[in-house]
Amino acid sequence: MIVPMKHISLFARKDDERRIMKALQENGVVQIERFDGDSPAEGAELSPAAGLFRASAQTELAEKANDAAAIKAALSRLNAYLPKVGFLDAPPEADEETLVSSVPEALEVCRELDELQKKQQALRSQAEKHNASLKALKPFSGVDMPLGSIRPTKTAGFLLGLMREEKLGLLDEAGIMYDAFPAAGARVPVLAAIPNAEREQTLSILHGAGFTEAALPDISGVPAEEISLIESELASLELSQKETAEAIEALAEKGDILKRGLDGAMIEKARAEARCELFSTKETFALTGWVRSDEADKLLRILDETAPTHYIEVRDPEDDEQPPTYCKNSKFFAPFEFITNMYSPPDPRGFDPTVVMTPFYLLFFGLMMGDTGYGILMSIAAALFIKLRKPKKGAGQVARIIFWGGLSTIVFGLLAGTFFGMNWYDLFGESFPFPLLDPMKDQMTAIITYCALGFGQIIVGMIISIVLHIKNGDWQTALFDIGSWLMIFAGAAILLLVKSPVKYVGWGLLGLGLLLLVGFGGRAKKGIGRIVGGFGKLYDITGFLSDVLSYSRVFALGLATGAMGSAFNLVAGIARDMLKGIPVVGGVVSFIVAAALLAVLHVFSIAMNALGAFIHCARLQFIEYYNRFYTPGGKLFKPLGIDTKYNNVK
Amino acid sequence: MKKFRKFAAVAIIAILALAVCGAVFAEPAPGGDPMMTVGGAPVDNTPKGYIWAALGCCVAMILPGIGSALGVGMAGRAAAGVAAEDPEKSGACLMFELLPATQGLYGFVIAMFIAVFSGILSGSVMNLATDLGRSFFYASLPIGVVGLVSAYFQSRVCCAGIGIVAKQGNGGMGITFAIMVELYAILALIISILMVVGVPVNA
Repeated sequence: MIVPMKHISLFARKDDERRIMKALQENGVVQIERFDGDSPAEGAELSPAAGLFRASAQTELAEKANDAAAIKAALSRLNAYLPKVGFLDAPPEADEETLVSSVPEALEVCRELDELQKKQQALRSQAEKHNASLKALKPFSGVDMPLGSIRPTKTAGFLLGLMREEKLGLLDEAGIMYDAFPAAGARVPVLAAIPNAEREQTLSILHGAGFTEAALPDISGVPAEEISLIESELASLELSQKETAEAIEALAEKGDILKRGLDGAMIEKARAEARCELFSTKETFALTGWVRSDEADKLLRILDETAPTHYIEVRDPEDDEQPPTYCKNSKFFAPFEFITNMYSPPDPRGFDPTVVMTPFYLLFFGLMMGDTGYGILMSIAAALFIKLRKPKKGAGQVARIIFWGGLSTIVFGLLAGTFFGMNWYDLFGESFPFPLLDPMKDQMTAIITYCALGFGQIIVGMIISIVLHIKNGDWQTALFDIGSWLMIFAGAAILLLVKSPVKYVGWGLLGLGLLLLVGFGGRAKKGIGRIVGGFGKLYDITGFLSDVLSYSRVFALGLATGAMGSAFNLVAGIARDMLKGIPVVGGVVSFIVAAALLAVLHVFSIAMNALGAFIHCARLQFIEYYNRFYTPGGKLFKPLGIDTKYNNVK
Repeated sequence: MKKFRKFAAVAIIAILALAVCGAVFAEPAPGGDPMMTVGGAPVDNTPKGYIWAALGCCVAMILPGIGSALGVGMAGRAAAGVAAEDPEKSGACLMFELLPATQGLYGFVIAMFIAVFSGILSGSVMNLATDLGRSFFYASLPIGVVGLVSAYFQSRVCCAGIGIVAKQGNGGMGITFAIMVELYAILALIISILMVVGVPVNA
């Protein structure tokens, strides 16, 4: 059921602003919208006070968003070291105060982490630099003189470089003075003297002989000594790198602080976001937004308690306003709003289809899964998940849908399905009365039954549509476009099923329906267009046909579940028979392997088939059912509230 | 796109070629007397249904298997791209990745059906009449060909749907768009099932 919305305009003292916003957030009753100025403040320019206020609110929002982003980044950096959260572990409980007050603490952890990361970065780049020097120096380790002592004289310069030993003869031939040192690689270090007078010539001879100049880091000592110095430094760098990594890992112990801090920062961010929508003068502020009509009194009470000095105006939405949509359903139906919202939330002035959709959803879900064993497992798993993990919002809704879907699967598995892929009469003998309808043995009956159920759903959709149209005063659409089809169907059904004189009633209904449809279907147009339009309406029969045939997927998916299950049973059976041959341990091994295979394969089968049933069933509601009567296009009511990820707020 | 067309054409032609080979080798000589001889040489006149049944089993598994592997692979790459940016969206992406996987499962179901009904599992397939075996082969064609093609095209819709997830955080109607393609695989599955269980093996 859609709860009507009330529009509120609140004016209060600026001193009370923070208190009021906090109270509103804690109670989660108001969706705040940008102050629209249709109230007494209309025409007022954005005064300096208002501008200042909005600017400060935006600055605050930026700060809070930064905090949240920093904590989130730290959490994802430490993610690998955080203790794993199990599937069934309930999130810890905390109150809002604790969460918000741990933000500074969390930011402190972020700073520590930041510093450690910077330190690690510096250590890494230093180590890289040392490694590069080491690589350059290594070939010259045989040079037994300090490099700083190589200085040009008045008449000659010196060049240190590497060349192949067998090419040294070329230098001898050219009469170049040089000194060769012990090699530390494929090439020998060579110190060549280059007379200033013959510089170009000497250089070209050297290069011709494969001499490459050394590109050494800026050092002056003996290479071998420098190398050992760098190596010891590298070792100590590695040690401190390791220490830093350990320190980062140790920070993961403060993961809970970070998680609390992130939740706290998100709470503050949401409030800062809402504050940006407010309007303010020097002494007062104004707030506009939406409140559920059933919570309007609660809101008034909250305001009286937090800030007695205020003025509030509560009114119904005007025709040109688009209020948000809030659906209120009983505990059983509420999770199924998820399905409707997957398509689109209902129009706020429309009709909430959840209650009329849920029975059909469960019916077809059960038929599509169609395996009692799978249904039992699904229900147990969903119940455990709900009980232990206490999921909120989307996950909680899906878990509840799976729980109820599992119960429905248990029932329909018995009526028209299998048990873990096994036929009921294979298990309990031929005299076992179930399943009443076996899709494996009697395919045509099954397909026709499921399509008939689908046709029933379409008829229900049409009846709902008629009711809604009549409620809106549009009796013409109700009678001519939808009622006429119902008459045609009813007439055809009577003709097919009844043989007594009652069948003339069938002819009458059929004729009347056709007359109404052809005569008034094209009433929006004039002249020839009206007649053509009326006959054109007859073409809609193809739409009904394809919609009904679409329900044959129920048969296919139901059969596929059972067939997949039995195929997996077969596979495990074959594996068991093969392993039984092993002497002595054959019995045990074959049992263990077969059991493991069964467990893995059936879990896979449940997952795939549940996904298929969930989505295909939703599709049947959206396309075949909702198309008949549903007005989508609403936006969900999202009040300013406390929305946390890691902690449940008490 | 062009690559897939070529690939699908080659795969389908290969299957048809297999069918022709089967037709040539699996035809029993006329007459029907297993001990008949022609010019003194014994003629193999035993029923050849087992070749056809095995071929059907292969087609039902191979073609949709290829389609699903391609489809899940494509969608998986797209999903990994989104999950790399925002790991919180991987759940929604996984739904899209798994959708083209169903065709392979349908093929598997039909392959199992053929294996059970034709007697491949029990071994009685060796006595399967040629005509009956051929019926099993034909029964594998709807899910085989439609499974291959629909898995590929469904995967393209899924990749687009993963785009929706990347931009808006949840798949919304994208899932419904992708499911639309699946209808044809489901219809093919129904026809294949009806054809397999309709083969009068025990008549």
